[in-house]
Amino acid sequence: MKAAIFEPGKRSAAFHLRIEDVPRPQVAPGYVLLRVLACGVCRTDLHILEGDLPVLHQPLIPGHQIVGEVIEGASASLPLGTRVGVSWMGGTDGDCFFCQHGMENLCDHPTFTGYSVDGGYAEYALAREDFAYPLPQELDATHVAPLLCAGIIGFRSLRVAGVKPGDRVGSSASAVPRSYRFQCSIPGDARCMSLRGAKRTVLRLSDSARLGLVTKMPDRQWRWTVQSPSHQAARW
Amino acid sequence: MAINAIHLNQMPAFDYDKLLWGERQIRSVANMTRVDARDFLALARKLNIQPRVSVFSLDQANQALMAVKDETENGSAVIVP
Repeated sequence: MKAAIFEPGKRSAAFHLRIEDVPRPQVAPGYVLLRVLACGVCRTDLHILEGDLPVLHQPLIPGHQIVGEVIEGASASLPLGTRVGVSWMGGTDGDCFFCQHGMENLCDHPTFTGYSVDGGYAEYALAREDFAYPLPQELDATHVAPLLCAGIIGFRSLRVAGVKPGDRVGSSASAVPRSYRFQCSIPGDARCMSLRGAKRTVLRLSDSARLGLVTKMPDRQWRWTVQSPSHQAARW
Repeated sequence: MAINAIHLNQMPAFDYDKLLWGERQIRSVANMTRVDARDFLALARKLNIQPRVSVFSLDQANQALMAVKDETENGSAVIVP
């Protein structure tokens, strides 16, 4: 199969990946083999390829926002042809303290898709069956792929921040593409806006009422948000 | 406030009196759970979330990465093999 391969030490200054033919992954019990339909590119991929994160697996096929079709390893829960999404968490041990207490995101022995195991920059990808999410037909592959990390983990950020319907939410999303419409992910009547770096200040406010919220923000919080270097969701 | 970043070089210093006093809370976000994934995908379906995307072929994987790095595209980069 064709795949984009990363090998530390073999990259040029400008290009991180080599496009090569490599053996197709072999399906194993508990896994499904996917024909990759789309794979989103995340800034975490750049962190991996640029050495900001330690090397866990090499050579590596990056990519952790995979939309694929089950072509082998089908089961009753994931029949042949099922379209699934695979995200950053590719597996957990299931029996550590964190997994046993509803915090599998902090698992002692996690598998990270496209980081500790091969990911979706390829024609085919292997995924744990219990970490593959059937996708609704309404969401096409190309458009659902970016939701599998930016969307899911952005959503988790809102949960962690304790956002509730009716809250005002600010988002400084320097690592998130301009198309990321933060307000779309809020259910109910949460009032939201997106901020993007000190230079652009305000991104895509959907109406003047939301724009008004910006001016109502206390100055100290406004400054804090726009100067922050990372993706943040804030309550105030 | 939640900070969602897998890597940061450093956190800036905070002015305690102006920013942190008053029982402020800052939490980091690490990874995600399957419950997060299922709940969000159900919400994405309900709200019909359609992010803007820029499509690249697998042969263009390096260009897709550079597009994310340089923020040259007006949408999320997606590789379609």
